[in-house]
Amino acid sequence: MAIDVAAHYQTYGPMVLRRCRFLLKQEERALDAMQEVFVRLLTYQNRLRGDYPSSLLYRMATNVCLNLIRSSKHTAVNDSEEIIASIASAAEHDKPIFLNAWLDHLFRQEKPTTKEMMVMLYVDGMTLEEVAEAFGMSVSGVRKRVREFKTRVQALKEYEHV
Amino acid sequence: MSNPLSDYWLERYALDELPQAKREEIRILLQADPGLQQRLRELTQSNDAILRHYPATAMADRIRERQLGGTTADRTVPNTHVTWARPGWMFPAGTVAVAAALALWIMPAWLLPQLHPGAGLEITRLKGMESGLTIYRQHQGNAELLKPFAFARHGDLLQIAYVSLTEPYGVIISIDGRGTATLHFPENNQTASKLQIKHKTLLPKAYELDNAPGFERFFLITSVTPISPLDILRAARTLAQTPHLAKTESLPLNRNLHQYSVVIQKSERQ
Repeated sequence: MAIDVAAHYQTYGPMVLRRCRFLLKQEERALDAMQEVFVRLLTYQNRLRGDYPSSLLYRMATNVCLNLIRSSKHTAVNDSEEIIASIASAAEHDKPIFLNAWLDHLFRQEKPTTKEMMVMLYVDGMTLEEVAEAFGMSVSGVRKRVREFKTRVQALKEYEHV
Repeated sequence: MSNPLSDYWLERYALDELPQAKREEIRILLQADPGLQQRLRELTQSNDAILRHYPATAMADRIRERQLGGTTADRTVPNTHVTWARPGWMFPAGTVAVAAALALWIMPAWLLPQLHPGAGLEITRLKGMESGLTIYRQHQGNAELLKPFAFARHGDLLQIAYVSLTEPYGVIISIDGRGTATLHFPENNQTASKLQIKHKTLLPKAYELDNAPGFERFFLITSVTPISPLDILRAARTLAQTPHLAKTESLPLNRNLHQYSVVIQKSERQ
């Protein structure tokens, strides 16, 4: 059944826009990202699965924003720095390994879901269990992704210090 | 459960889209935490404010237009900024071919009226090109691609580019939030409306946004036969006089004419 975009926006639009505002820190870009999320929802509606659109849309918003941050030359520098700073700040309860500007570079090589997971963990402050629940994965599966991610971060960090 | 509760869960709680166990877990937290109750109230207030500021009907139109038309919102090319050429180094002899070869496809037409006077400037040929309009804004010496519904403001200098893949006749007009219609191409309503086809072509003059409120909506109308600019202007004025439809509806024109439009929103910030 075709998605009623007005009804979906009415229900989920505010949540998506808030998410985009939080990550992009700029109203115009957040509005642009929010629309892009719904365009993708329409484009891929036949492939969508799951009982809770909110979960999917929240993650889509995260992914769209990360892509925007990465791809926008106009404002990428400042905004990437803000996000990286946010991640770094939020990661202080963990190991402060996200302090370098190459996080964005590193992110490019990651699966979209891994990027979303890292944002949920280190920007949103969610636990491994919560992230696992959000992604429908086992905790050990998420832990493994995090471990692999950190290993790559550490390797890159050591490489850059050589 | 992390502390504080993440927005991810609170949003989904507010939407009543949680498994029963999780919902119950958050309900108990809410009962004991005035701060969390306040966040939930703020979230509800934020919902109302967003829907008031960006109403569902208007946003749904934008989203559909972006999906269907998406005339210039190139979501596959992340770099939406291209070099704003300077005449000293961009246009030595044989420059158009060089520029095309380099795929630097934006040049300020007002700097180059002598190249193709009145006809616009062919820039490049690109695979995957679609008929439609592209709007650029001069920004700090660069040409910034304005996506549909991007914000611009009074005084911004806009450059219009068009592509018509097959139809050799066309008119470009804009309507604004004040109900005014402006003819951009051809240069006056008496001249021929012949388009360059299969090329991205800049109009010979840039356009400075005035202080009309709300929006500026640009239309490209194409046809296989000559078009009367006056007829298009007349239709544009009719639509422009209906503010609640002007941003979303098509011009009242014969179905044989194809319409492409891009809406630029007016930002009040200076």
